[in-house]
Amino acid sequence: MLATHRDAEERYARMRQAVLDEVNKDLISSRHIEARARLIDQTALLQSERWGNSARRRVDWQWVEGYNLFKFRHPKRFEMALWHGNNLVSLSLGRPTYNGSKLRIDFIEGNPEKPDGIKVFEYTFIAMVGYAQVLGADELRVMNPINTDVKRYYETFGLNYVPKSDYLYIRL
Amino acid sequence: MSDEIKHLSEQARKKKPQTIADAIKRAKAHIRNVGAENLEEPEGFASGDMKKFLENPDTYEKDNEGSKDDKH
Repeated sequence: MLATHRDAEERYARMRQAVLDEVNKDLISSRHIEARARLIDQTALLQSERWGNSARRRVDWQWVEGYNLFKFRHPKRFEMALWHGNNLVSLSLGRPTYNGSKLRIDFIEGNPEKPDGIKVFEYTFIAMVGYAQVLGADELRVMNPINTDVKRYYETFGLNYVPKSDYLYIRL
Repeated sequence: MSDEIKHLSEQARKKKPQTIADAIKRAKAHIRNVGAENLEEPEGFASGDMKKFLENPDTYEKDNEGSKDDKH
């Protein structure tokens, strides 16, 4: 790894952590008192491998491989592992666009066996808005919703679908 | 989708928040305002195309962001 790449990785890791610290302050004071937002680590990646055992899972992703490659390519990335107690609730991974004016989420997955009432996107959205603030981005994008139900769910958050490129966006 | 909720808050856009905490408060207010906080998430919730990314990250990134002007 080049020194410039390492420096960027460390600088943006501090920014990511600062955002998650603020998200956690909010979680502690909310009805989601057992939930915590963390950076993605080996513990989270290992736990995500159990998701493949669930019949409710809609994707067949290898987060270990996907995260490691994405991390190497994108030091400015957005990432979050959402936990509820000792259970991994979701993983999400994204990055700013080329010119840095938009923050996109490339991959997000909820634990297919997460407890009822535990939601994934609400706090991912909140964390993304926080990270967009840090980056100076003025738009969020969610890439490639896996089906119509998921697309409609995003639309309830005020996101607008762009069929040509299969993503949703919201201006900040 | 009405034009009114294409932006998190017109008022906030005029005066951008200065801190992460402000941005988080604004995001939470938006979620409340659009009535999304009590909706159930679809089963097997996920978005993205990780397989395409892993098969060829360069192609994935080119296809997902073909032009560098970032326009819709």
